[in-house]
Amino acid sequence: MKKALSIVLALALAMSLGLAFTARASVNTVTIKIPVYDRGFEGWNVTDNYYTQWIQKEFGDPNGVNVQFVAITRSAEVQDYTQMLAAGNAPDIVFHYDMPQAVAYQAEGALQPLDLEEFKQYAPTYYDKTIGMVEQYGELDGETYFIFATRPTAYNYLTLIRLDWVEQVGKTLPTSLKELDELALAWREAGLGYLNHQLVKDNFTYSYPFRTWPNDDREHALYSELGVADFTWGPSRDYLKELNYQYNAGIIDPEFYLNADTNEALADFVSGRAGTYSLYLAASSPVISSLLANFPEAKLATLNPAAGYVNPEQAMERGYWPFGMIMGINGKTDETTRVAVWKYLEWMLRGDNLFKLENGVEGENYTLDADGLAVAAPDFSGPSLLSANKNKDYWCLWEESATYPTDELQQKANLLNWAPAGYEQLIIDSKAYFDALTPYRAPDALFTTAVTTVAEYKADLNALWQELYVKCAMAAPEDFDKVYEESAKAFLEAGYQEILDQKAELYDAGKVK
Amino acid sequence: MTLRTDTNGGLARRDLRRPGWGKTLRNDWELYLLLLPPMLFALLFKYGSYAGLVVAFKDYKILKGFFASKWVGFAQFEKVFATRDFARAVRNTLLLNGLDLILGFPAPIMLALLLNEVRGRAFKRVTQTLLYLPHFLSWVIIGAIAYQLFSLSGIVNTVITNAGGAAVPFLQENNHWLASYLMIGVWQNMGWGTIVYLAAITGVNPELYEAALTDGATRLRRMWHVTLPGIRPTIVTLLIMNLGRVMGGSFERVYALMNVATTEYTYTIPVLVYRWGLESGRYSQATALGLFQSVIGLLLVLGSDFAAKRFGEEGLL
Repeated sequence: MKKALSIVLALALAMSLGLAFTARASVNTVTIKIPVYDRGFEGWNVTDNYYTQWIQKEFGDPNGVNVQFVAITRSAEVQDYTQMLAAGNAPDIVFHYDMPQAVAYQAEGALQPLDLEEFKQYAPTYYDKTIGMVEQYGELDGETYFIFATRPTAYNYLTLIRLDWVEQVGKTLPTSLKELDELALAWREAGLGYLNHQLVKDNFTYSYPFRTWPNDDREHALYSELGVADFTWGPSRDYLKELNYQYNAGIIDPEFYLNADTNEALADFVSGRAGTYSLYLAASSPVISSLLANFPEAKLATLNPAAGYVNPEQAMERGYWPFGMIMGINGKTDETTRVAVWKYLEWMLRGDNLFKLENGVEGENYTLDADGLAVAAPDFSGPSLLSANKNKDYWCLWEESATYPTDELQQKANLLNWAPAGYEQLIIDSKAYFDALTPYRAPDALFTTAVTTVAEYKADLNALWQELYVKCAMAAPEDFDKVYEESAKAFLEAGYQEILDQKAELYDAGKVK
Repeated sequence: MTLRTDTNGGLARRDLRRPGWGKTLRNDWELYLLLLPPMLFALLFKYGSYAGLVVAFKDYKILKGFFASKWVGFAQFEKVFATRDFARAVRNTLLLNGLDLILGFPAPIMLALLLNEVRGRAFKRVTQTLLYLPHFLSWVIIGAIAYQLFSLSGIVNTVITNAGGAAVPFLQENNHWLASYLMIGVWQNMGWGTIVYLAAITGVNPELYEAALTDGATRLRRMWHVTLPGIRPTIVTLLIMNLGRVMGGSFERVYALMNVATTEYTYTIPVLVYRWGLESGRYSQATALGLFQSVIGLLLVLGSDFAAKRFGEEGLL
């Protein structure tokens, strides 16, 4: 018995040691590592599914390329990338949606300069369609580091509002901040619910409705930073003052600071605690069906963005840069691998590949209508099921939303993609609001060299912002000014002053686009 | 390695001719084999990572690597000590862990004494198992449940308000948060902590109890004069080990229970290390802070060990 136990133990140990030395199966092909966001979709394996296998079969095998997908946690992507870059096993494409972070990767030495001739040679279609953006935005310190996916106009980010509540209190849909506050007060009186307020963190666009148009270019360049709050700027102060009013008036959730992610805001909305909810609406969004399951009488409308503005005639909107995903090539990637990456990007645009990646298999995932648009089959659940955001995290290397040849077709397709059946009006209204605000939209300033202080202080300021803004919002109205002044001082001291100084220096030196 | 001989003589004297390495290995090779994986683990993950401390003295850029990064001496430490959050983090770390020690350390001892007096075997077993249970819940789960139960519109407050009371901001106000944090910690650790003490109690000589009983000692007296002195070495050892953690403490516990409205006590050293090291990639400063914390922790252990010896206890080292 003892002997037997010894043998088992010895074997177990030998096996565990042996595992570490298992030789990798040698393959003669080149391996490319393609990043893909992991958004934690239930039941979805981001690195091994019908579509990754299809890509391997259709692109990989014929070209002698082993396509390996690397999951990047969407909510911790910089952390993931940084660790993989340090360990030397980062994907061959280093991507990010926001320019300052992409520039930060370059500043750390994670990227290699690109040879545009090589890019043109192996990915001619991709090159032709994006070279304008690459030439305009892809250069840093005299070398080209980035290529860009395209960003078609999208207007599916919207705020849903409970129209039945609006009607119940005898009001109309609000078109200014004053009207919105009055409506919310009426809701409170009637015992209905709050305005949703999700904890502001990570992405700071909250002050746009409080900025004025036309904007001051220098101030815009100094204060507009997606990753850092413009806490000490006038529009921020106005925003916080308004939030303080809403909190003290009891028209937002008294525990709004616990709504740290979108799930909590969603739960409040579908459970009837809140009457508004902002999201990227998609045809497959479960929010409406969940709400109707709880409140069959619920009616919904798109909230006019002007309802966030003090003065709708003079407000400013945040614009996007014309590009979608920003991509650099890993500094450690060799020429053979890089060429295979270019080929992969090109392959995506060839034939029906993109269409299949975006829509799935004809006759299973969708049927074609008279215009050639893919109409998704309801409740499809076969092996070729698309991911919950329609495989976007695979085709985002090429475009940010699906495109169609004509405006008319595009609008029709957008409705199919974005509007849950029977709720087309939500998207139609959203487009109208979006178009109306187009003249007041400007993207963030683009510095042509890394603003290093942003990367250094971003996380500290993000944490401090949450603490201070919640404090400002929850202060008694008469104490607001004092609390704000103290908070602004603390914010500046925690590194914001250094960011502002560096940006001012760069701006004055003309290092900005 | 040399084997320590028993200075009291006795058995050890007969064994003066110590067996050689080879023979020991041959005799008990299964035991050494069993020891190997944990030893490898400790060497690799506890000592292997010591080399990484070098980044505290460098301006470490991960893509340059350990060797190519520039030496900066103590500049990173100076930077850390100058930050706005540092003083607050040190204060909070000491405060949270100090209070935790005061409240959390005696709790398992008292509970063990009580459990030891329970006579119903079935009741005792069930109680013990239930008391161990929270130890196996991760802090993330506990944090989520705590916010479900103790939010202003949660079950507990609903009960309170329906009974005519005012809602208590258990986790929504700084001082309440601190109290809740401590209580939840005691609840989570108390049961598990009893195991060592219960084991120690079984080692107390039963004759002492019999003698005390003959002298007419009550249950309380026996607990006080027999059980407690019997487990005193265990208590001292654990106290020394716990003192070493006063400077560290659990990252997960604070992180899972914190919220942005009650940050007065939640800026602690582990939270800062996480934010600097993992969120901002300021590895050098995070390492410097971590090293500072460890050195203080080590001094606390050595100091308390020294103090324990002065008071006539055996100490740890």
